This record gives sequence, structure tokens and C-alpha cells, in this order.
Amino acid sequence: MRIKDIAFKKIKNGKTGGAVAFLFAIILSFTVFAGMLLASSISIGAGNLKQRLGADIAVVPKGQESNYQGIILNGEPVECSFERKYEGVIRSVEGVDKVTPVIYLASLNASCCSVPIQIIGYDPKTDFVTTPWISDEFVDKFSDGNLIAGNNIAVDDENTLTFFGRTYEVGARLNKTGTGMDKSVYVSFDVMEQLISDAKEKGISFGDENAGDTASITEEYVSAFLVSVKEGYSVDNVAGNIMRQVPGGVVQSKSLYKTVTNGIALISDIIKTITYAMFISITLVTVFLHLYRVGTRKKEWAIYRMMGGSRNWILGLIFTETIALSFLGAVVGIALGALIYFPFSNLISQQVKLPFYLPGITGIILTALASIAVTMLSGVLPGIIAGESAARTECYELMREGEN
Amino acid sequence: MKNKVIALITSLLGLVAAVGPRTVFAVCSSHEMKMKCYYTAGWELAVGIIAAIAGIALFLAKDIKLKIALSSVQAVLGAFIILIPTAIVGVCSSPMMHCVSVTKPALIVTGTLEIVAGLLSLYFYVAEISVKDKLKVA
Repeated sequence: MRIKDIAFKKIKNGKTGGAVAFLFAIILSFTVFAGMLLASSISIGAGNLKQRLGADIAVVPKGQESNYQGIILNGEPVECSFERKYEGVIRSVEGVDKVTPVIYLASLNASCCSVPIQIIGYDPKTDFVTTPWISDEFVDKFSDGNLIAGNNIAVDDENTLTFFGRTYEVGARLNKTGTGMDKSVYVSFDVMEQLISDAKEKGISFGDENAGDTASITEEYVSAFLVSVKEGYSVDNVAGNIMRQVPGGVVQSKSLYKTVTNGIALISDIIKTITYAMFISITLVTVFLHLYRVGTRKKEWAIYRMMGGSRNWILGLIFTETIALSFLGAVVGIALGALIYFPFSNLISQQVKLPFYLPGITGIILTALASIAVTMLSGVLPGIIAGESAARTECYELMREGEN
Repeated sequence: MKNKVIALITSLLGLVAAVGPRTVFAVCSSHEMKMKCYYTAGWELAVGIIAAIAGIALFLAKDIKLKIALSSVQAVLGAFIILIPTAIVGVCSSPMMHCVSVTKPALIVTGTLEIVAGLLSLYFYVAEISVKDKLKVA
């Protein structure tokens, strides 16, 4: 019988005395697996966000800077208005390449579930931020007057959404991005006109009290201007010039992305610290646990020695048992991690308040393999120490001590 | 002893499935209309109570064939605990709703653990029978 077979038979029959070490392996593997998944989920989410940030600068009404970040990162519903007359002023600022206005309107109810969502209106004539990536993400053909729904938006059975008492057909559903875009609905300005008019009837005003009475409301008011800067110009300087000429706040994409990367760095640091601390402490604790379990089976080692088993053979058996316990613990830890992490991924993404996107199957498999490797590595030192301890002791000593 | 512990665990998981959707991981609350998750909570109450009773029966049962049958029932009930929010009844369609982000995953975890516990119990009882059969042959 090979060492491997004996070790697995011992584990199967529960005769290794390594139950506590097995439990520690589960804890370590669970921590490494869930921690690495979380780090890679927010990292992928940040990558998606970077791809979608088409503008260098967002000019928003004064005091709405943090709300704008909330829309982009988490899709938090915001409503604000800005006089459109500043579009020309921004366009004339040196270094400005493109300018497009957007309108943010918060709904009261979406479908059956009363969750307020963000409706984002874009101007098809000048848009350079929304349409370029929307066209790639289409599932169905888009027709005028329809809505484009983010991935997390609940659509009725008839593929419609009701806003302010009017039903709109959903023309397309975006693929998941893990950003606030998943929780938003996109409409062109003509549909937005209708939405604002309906919202007014429900008591929600946009812009000035009398706005839209004489002319089209989107000609008078918008919520923000998205600006791209010409190559060769400093974004900081252009943003400063805009701030001097327009009574609004400015949010730079790079600072928005920096907020996200800072958040990621913080979470990654916490995960790394916990993993290192767990690895070191569990390795040290299991050294003693394995020494203890080896110590309780001294008579068994003595019998193996009397039957002709060499010191190396005993060392090999104990080492194999230890690594096998770590491996099985790692597998159970990963299973538990997967059982909790994947079903609760929605809740986790809501709690971290950062762009969040689950890695693909290859990423998950690699994470699982890394977790197994780390957990098994934590069993190497205890396995060698415990094995050496049993293998070095003389046969008669083992027999005598085993009798005590 | 370990079989008795597993029986108690299955019973406890049944209780969690029955009571959880109305307490700890409650479904959405709406006074205006009854949403899908409302009915999920109702179904889970029924299935969870059956699982809890089956767990107690498994704990008290003496006949090994009955124990095997009850262990299988627990595994099947575990599958039902998962299928009610995911396929049979469902939950609200928006991923932002509480029933989607909390109740459904909690029931998936509870149901999976119920299946694992039921299958473990089944494995131990089947192993017990095969050992007894071997002893008889000897």
C-alpha cells in the first residue's frame, strides 16, 4: 500500500487527529478565496468604469459634484438642473474639444417595485459619451422613442417601463458593467421632454418653475455638461478656466477614477493584511496542532518502525497526511466561499459602493487554484516539523511513550 | 452521534428556511400589492416546516430504512428551498430589491447546506447498512 493510500484511508476513517487543523485550513482557504475574488471583482469593475468614462470633465451645478460621482459609481438617483446657456460659454473656453449636455431625472417608481432609478437623457446631436459604447452593447435594435435600460433595471413582462404614468417600450438592455450605468435608464432628449412634462404633472419640477412653458425645456435647462479636452491641453487648466467662466462645479474623470482606485487600494490592502496575518498565524498554530496529533499516535509510529518502516517513510506519511488535510480543507473552504460569495454578490456590490463585476470562469478557477496553493503551502512547515518529530524519535522510545 | 447532530442541523436549517424570509432575511414589504417574493415566503414556510419536522423524525427514528428515506427527503427539500426563489415562484425582478440581494441568496445557502446535510446523513446510513451486511456475511 502506498503512503498516499494509507494517508487518505486514515483521513476517511477520521483517525488522523487533525480535525482542528482541517478546520483552520477551511478558514484560511475561505479567506483567501473570498478576499481574492472581492479584490478582482472591484478591479474589473474599475476597468469597466475607465472604459465608459468618455469625458474628461463634467460641469455640474454648484454643490452637485459628489452627487455626480454617485450617479457614475452607484447609479444613485439625482435630480439637478443647469441653465443651458452656459453650453456656448464652455464651448468657447480654450482647449475644449467637445461639449454635450446631459439631463438627470430621478423616477418615483419603476415597474412593480417602487425603487427610484436614475434616468439619463443625452443629446443625440452632440453626444460623444453615451452613444459610442451603447451601440456596442445593444442586444436588440434601438428605435426612436424607446428606452435603453441598464442591466439591473427590472423590466415588465411586456418589455416596458412605466415612468410618471406613461409606459415606454425598452428598446435595448445594456450588458452588465458593474458601475452605476447598470442602475440607470438612457433616453434621448425628445423622450426626456415627455418625461419632464409628465413629471411636472406629478409635482416634480425640473429647472425653473415656468421652464418649458414657452419653449422646449431641454433648450433652456440641462443637468450637466460633459466636456472633452483637446489633445495637448492640460485638463486641470481647462477645468480651471471653465470654473472661472461658469457658475458651476467641475468633476474631472481622473479624480473620479482616482476615488475608485483609492477605494480599491484600501480594500486590497485590508485583504492582503488579513491574508498574510491568517497565513502566518494559522501556519504557526497548525505546527503545534500537528505536533500534538503526531504525539498522540506514537504507538502507531513505533509499530510502523517495527514492521520495517523507515524514518523517511514515517516522515512521508505524516507529511502526506498534513498536506492532504490542508488540501481537503482548502476545497471545503472554497466551496463555502463560493456558496456565500456568488449568491450574495449583489449585496456585496451594494455594500462596497464601488464598481463591482464578477470575474469570468477562468478568473474564478485561477483564484480557487491560488487558494488551494496558499492553504497547502501553510501545511508544508507543520508537516515537516511534525514528521521530523516522529521520525527522529527512536523506536523503543516511541513504544514506551505511546504506552503512557 | 454524528447522525443525530446532522438530523438536528437539518431540522434547524428547515426552521431557518421557514422563518427567515419573514424575519432575519425578510422579503420586500409592500402594502399596495403582493409581489412574487411574498408568495416565496409562503412556500418557504411550508417547505421549511416540513424539513424541520422531517429532521426531528430523523433524530428520533430507529429503523435504518426510515432514516435513509428521511435523509433523502431532506436532500430533496433542500433542493426545493433553492428552487422556490429561483425557479418555482421567484422573487422581484430588480437586482436592487432586498428579496433579490438578501432573501434569495440566503435561501440558496440554506438549501445547499440542507442538501449537503441530507446527503451526508444518507451516506452515513448507507455505509452503516453495508458494514452490517458485511458482518452478516462474515
